[in-house]
Amino acid sequence: MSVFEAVIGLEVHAQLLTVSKIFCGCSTSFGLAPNTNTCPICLGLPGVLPVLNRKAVDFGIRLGLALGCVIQERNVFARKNYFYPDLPKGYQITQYDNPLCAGGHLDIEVKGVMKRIGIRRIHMEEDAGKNIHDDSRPRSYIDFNRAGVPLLEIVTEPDITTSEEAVTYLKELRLVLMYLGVSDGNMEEGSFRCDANVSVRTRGSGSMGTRTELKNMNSFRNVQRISLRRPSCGTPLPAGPVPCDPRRKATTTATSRIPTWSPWSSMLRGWTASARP
Amino acid sequence: MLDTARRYRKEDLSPPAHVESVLARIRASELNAFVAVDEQGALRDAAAAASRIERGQEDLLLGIPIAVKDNICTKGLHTTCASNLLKNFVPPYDAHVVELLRNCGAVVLGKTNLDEFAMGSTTATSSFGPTKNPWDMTKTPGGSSGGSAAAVAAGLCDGALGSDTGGSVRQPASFCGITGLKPTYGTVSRYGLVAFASSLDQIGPMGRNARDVAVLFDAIRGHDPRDSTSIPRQYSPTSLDGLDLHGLRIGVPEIFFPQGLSREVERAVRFAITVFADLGAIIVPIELPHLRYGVAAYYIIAPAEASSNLARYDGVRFGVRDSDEEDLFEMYCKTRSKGFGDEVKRRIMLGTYALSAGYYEAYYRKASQVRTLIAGDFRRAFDRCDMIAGPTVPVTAFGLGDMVDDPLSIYLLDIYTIPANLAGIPALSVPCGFGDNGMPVGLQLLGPPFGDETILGAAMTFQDRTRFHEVRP
Ligand SMILES: [Zn+2]
Repeated sequence: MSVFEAVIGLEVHAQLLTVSKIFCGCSTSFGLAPNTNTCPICLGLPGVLPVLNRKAVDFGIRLGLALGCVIQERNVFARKNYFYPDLPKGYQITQYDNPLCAGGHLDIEVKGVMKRIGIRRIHMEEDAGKNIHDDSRPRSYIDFNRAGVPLLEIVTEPDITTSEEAVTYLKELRLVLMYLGVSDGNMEEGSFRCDANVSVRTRGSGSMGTRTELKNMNSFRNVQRISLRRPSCGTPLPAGPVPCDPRRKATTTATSRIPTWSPWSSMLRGWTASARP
Repeated sequence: MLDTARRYRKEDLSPPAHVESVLARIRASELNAFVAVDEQGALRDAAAAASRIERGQEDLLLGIPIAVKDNICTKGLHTTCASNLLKNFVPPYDAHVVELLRNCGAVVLGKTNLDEFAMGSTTATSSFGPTKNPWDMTKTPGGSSGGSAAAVAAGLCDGALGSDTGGSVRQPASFCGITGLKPTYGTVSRYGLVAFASSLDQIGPMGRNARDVAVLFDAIRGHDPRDSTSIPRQYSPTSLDGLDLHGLRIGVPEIFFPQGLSREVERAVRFAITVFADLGAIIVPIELPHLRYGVAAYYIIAPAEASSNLARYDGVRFGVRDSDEEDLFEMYCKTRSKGFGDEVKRRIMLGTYALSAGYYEAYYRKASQVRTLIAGDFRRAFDRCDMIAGPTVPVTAFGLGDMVDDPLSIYLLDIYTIPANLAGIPALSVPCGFGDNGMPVGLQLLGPPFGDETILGAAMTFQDRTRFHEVRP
C-alpha cells in the first residue's frame, strides 16, 4: 500500500434537458449551424435582461431531492466577471452564496463496500459559447449556440480517495441524472463534464496537500488515469504541501475555459467574430 | 402634448404638418439635443397616425412626436449611448417602452444626446459634443438626459423619454424648466434600456407639464415579463384632474436646506412650499437622518454595477473594434481604451475596485447597508406624511465648461436626487421659479412606493395655480 493517498472532490457540470436556454427562449438543440440558436439575450447585446427558465429550476430541485439535499428557498444569482470571447456579457450568471441545493449525498459501491459521498451543493448556471480556432490563419470564430444553455454544477465533499471511487461516483451520478430525465448524460456532446480537485497527502494525515484542479475531463478513462498517477508522483515527500504536478497541462483539454489571459490569450490572435444577430 | 392631441381632434392641426414643423425646428436648432433624427420614419408614422385619428381612434399619443434618449434601444435606428464604442450599433429590437409608444401611435422622432452611457450630470461627456441649455446657450442643460430635457424645453418634441439612475431625468428637467418623473422602481420595464446600474436605473417620462408627463407615464408603465424586476400589477389611467391638496401632509426635511444651498434655489423652493400650504396642504417637518450618506453609497453602488454591466463592450460581437491583427488582450485593451471616455473609465475603475476580492465587504456591502437605512428613513417618514418636498438640485444650470475637471463637485450636485433611486421610490421635478440669472429652478416631490400618481396629481394642482411651467425660453 502506498504511503500516500489522494483526496478528491469532483465538480460535475450537467447540461439540462430543457427545450430552451436558461435565460432566453432559444433552443438548446445540439449540432446546428453556428450561431443559429441565438438571440439578443444570449448574445449579450446592449439593453437585454435575463429571465429565468422555470423548467431549469424544476430540474435542479428534482436532482436535489434525489440526492437528499436541502432545497434552499432563497436563491441568489451572481455574476462571475471575466473577459473571454466566448462569454458574451463579460460575466457568467451563476450561483455563489445561495445555491439551489445544499448538503446531500450519493451512496456508491466499490469492491462490494458501500460508501457515502457527500454532496456539498448543487447550483444553476449558464454555459458559455465555443471558440473555434482556424489553424491556417491567426483567426478564431465563436459559436454562441451553447451560450446560455442551462447547467447544474454538482459539487461533492472531498470524500473520494481513489480513482475507482471517482469513476463509480460519476457513473452513478450520470445514471441518476438520466433516470430523472434531467440530463441526457451525453459526454461526447459535453452534456456531462467533470472537473476534479485533487490533493495528495500522507496516508492517515489529517491535513490537505496543495490542491490541483483538473479541468474538463470528458471521459471516465481520463478520470481513471489522472487519479492513478497522483499518488505515485515524487518519492521523497517534504513535510509541507505537495507540489503541483507538471503533467497537469497534458491531461487538461484544450477547450478548458480559464478566466485569465494566459496561456490561451497568446494563441487567440486577431479575433473575428462570426456571430451576427 | 395634450394641446396637440386636442388640436388634432379639432382638425386645425394634422400629425404630418405638426411633425414636419417639429422636424424643421430640429433642423434649425443649434442645441445639439439630438444624436440622430429619423425624418423618414417620423413622417411615415405621422401619416399613419393621421388616418387612425380620422377613423376616430382616441389614443392621446396618436401622432405625438416623442424624442427618445439614445440609451434606449430602437430597432433599425442607431443606439449609441453617446459613446464612440457604440457609434455603429443598430439594435435588432425595440425596447419595451419604444414598442409601447409605437403601439399607441406615437411618432418616434429620433434619439437624444446624453452623457456617455448616462454617466454624468451635464451631457458634456457625450462623444458627440455637449448639448446646450435652450434658456442660455452658454449653459449646460444638465444630464444625463440633457438632450431630452433641452428638446422638450425648446419645443423640438412634445414629450421625451429619459432614464434616471441618480437624477438623470429630474436634474436636467430642473435645469431646463420642464417636468420629469423618475417612476417607482419596477413600474416601467428596463428591457431595451442599456444598463448602467441595474438596481437603480429607471426609464422616466419628460414633458412641458405634469399632465403631459402623466399621459406618457401611463403609456410606458406596466408589467413586462422580459424584465424580472418589473412588478406584476394592474394600473388604471392616471387622473388628469389634479389632486385635492386639502389635508395632504407634505413632509419637509430641514436637511434639504443646508448652508451650502444656493439662495435663489432656497427662495424658489420655499415659495413653492407655501403655495402648497395655500392650497390646503399641511406642512410637516420630518427627519431623514441617513440621507447624508446617500452620495457616498451611490458612488460605490452605481460604479460597481456599471463596471460589470459595461464588460460586454469588448469589441467581439458588436460596436467598434480596434486593431484587427493583434492578440486578444491587445484587442480588448485598445477597444476599451479608445472607445470609452474618461468619465466612463473612471467609474469602471472605481467599480472594479469596489467589487474586487477583499474590498467587496468594505465597500459594496457597506454601501448596500446604507441603502437599506435610507429606504428605512423614507418608510418611517411616509408614516407621517403623504409626500416629501424639497429642491431637485442645489443650484441652477451652470456654464458649459464649468467643473469639467472637478468630477467630485459634480457628483455632489446629485445629493437630492440620489436618495429616491437608492430607495426605489418615485420622484419628480416641477418648475417652481427662476434664479437671479433667469435660469429655471426645480421643486422635487418624492412619494412612497407606487405613489407616482399622487405626486403627479399634486404637481398638476400646483401647475394649475402657478405658471412657471408655461414660461418658454
Ligand atoms: Zn437566446
